[in-house]
Amino acid sequence: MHRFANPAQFNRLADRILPWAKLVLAASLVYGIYLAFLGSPPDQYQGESVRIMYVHVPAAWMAMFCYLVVAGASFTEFVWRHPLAILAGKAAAPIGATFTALALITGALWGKPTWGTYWQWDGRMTSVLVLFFLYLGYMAIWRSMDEEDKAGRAASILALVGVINLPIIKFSVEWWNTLHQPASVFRLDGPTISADMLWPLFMMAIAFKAYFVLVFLYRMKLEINRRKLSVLRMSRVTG
Amino acid sequence: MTDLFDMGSVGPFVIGAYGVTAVALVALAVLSLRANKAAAAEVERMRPKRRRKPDEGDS
Repeated sequence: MHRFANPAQFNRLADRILPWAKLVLAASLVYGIYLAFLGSPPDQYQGESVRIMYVHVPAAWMAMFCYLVVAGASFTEFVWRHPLAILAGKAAAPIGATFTALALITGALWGKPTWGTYWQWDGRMTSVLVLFFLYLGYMAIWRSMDEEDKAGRAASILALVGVINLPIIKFSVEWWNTLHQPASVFRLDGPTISADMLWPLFMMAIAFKAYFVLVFLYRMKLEINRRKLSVLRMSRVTG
Repeated sequence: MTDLFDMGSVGPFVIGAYGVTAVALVALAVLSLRANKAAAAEVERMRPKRRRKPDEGDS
């Protein structure tokens, strides 16, 4: 793992991955949008509004995945003191916050025609809102301190404590009464959704994952450049 | 298959969901890319220039 602790080596690896991420993103997005609008039928009960599912569900998956990346990076920083791990958490947080906000907004837009309301304080929606606040808190801590190392450690503690929210999000639909339907894709007895709807869902999930890789690598390069800048500025001040 | 221009009363919700998603993701990608380019240019500008060796002439 420490093989990629060297920023120059990481940048070389990122430069090799970036073109592939762009290619996968373009191909899966075009095909996913085609399937979402033209290659899948309207739902028997929800009608055309089911098409919102193809952005809402992958956004919700990504919101949780990005948090795992942030928490994993925080754990790696705490245990192994990996120099790039803390930057990885910082780079992933805005992407996760964006996907969480999108999950909330697209969920509200799906909820209005389906349930008759934009918002309900039920377990799933409230725990996803908490996830959004965790991201905001994590990013606020980074900005609140001048010393990056201290800020990173404090933000990491919040990220690790917040991991408890992930199983709450996942199982909230089983633990409490909710408007949300129970899990219909990742189930022990297999998905309960028709294959016509699973394909666009997975294609959009691949597109969002490729988007994450692309933007995450650019943001990692950005954080590495910011570190270099602070070192250069310090060396100028000290003479 | 659906008629993109005739999704009935749910049309604005569907288009709104995809529109918000597109705007947010494109904005984040563009901002990240531009910030990285600006930071990389700043690093290049601040990096100490390599001094010429005495035998390297102007010609």
